[in-house]
Amino acid sequence: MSAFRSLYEAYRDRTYSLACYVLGDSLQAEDALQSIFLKVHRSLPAFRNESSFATWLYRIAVNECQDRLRKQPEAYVPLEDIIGSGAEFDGQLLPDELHAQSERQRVIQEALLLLSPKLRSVVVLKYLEGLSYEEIAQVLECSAGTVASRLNRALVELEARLRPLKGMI
Amino acid sequence: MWCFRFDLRKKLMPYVDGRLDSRMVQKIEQHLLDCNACRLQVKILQTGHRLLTGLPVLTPTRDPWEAIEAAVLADSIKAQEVTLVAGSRRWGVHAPGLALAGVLSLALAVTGVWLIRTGTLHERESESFNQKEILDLKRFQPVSVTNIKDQTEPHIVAEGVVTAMELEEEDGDFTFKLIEDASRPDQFIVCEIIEPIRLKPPKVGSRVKVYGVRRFDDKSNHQWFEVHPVLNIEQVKR
Ligand SMILES: [Zn+2]
Repeated sequence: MSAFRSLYEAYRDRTYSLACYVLGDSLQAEDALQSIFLKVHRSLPAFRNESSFATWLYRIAVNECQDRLRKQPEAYVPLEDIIGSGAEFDGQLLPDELHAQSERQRVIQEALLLLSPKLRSVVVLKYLEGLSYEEIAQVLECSAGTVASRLNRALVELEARLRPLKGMI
Repeated sequence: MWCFRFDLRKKLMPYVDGRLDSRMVQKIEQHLLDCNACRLQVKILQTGHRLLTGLPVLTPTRDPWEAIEAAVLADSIKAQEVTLVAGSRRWGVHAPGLALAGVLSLALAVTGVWLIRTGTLHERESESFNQKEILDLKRFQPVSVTNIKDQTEPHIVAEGVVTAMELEEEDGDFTFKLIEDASRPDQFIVCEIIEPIRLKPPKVGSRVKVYGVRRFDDKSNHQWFEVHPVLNIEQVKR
């Protein structure tokens, strides 16, 4: 158990963060963290060193998060429903509130949630976990070209959502 | 304004990300000189890239390790239950021991939990094996309410009288205290029956042996020893 515990401790925060950004809910992310590590434990005998441990773990994590999102379709708000509605962040936050780093992060986190789960996963794997396009492609079982194009779309959508706050964040 | 150099446009993300070789960078920058649409796209991507760089790593407020550990233990017990039942059909042939050894050593390597049954498998007549029979209870270190603090073994069996039974409404966990006798209520071990090892809670006032993982709860208002999770409970007849 101690070897497994070391693995858990080494990856706990990164896995939790991934779940938290993708699911957008800290309680759900804690729950997901538990399921992810139980699945990791169950699948460990089948783990072959074809990919790195991290890549393998993140694949389990992303699948778990996407399963959860699928089971709760009401939690996902399609971008089309809000885009251009002017309901972005205007007027919701005072400029001086935004000076705080935590506020900036909260705004970015909220904007992330407006991306589709697929785009969100790519963003989190790249910017939080620091994976290369090839590693992300392994996690998501797609091509590196698809990773680049999803990232492109994600950044364009994020920029559009955060544009009203230009100069503040 | 539109740009139809799709071959270059799909390279703008890796360009912003610094992932292109110098030849391709030159090619892109040459194109940017003439193409406002791509310059605009690069500006947008750079903004998104800047916003996301340094996304902070978060820490869970409640570490779910205990629940994971309990689930892993329950998994190991279940895995062996299945193997034992399957193997028991061929009991007379003496062969299942070897197959079992393989599965058990794998489970042990992963969990480090002592769950091997020793020796007496061939004496069993019944084909049903419960968790109690699969746990090797002999390997748990016996402790008492007074000497638990001197022990270091992670897997212990504590004996005492059951008091202060509580049910946590929220998660259905049972918590109770083991005491040596009613004259020393301040000396106790807290026992926690948690998911997924849902044991039937023992009767208050009965004397029991509680098998499980030894822990010290060091929260300032706690500071006590625990059996957490409880893996097995045995009544003691006096
Ligand atoms: Zn162009």
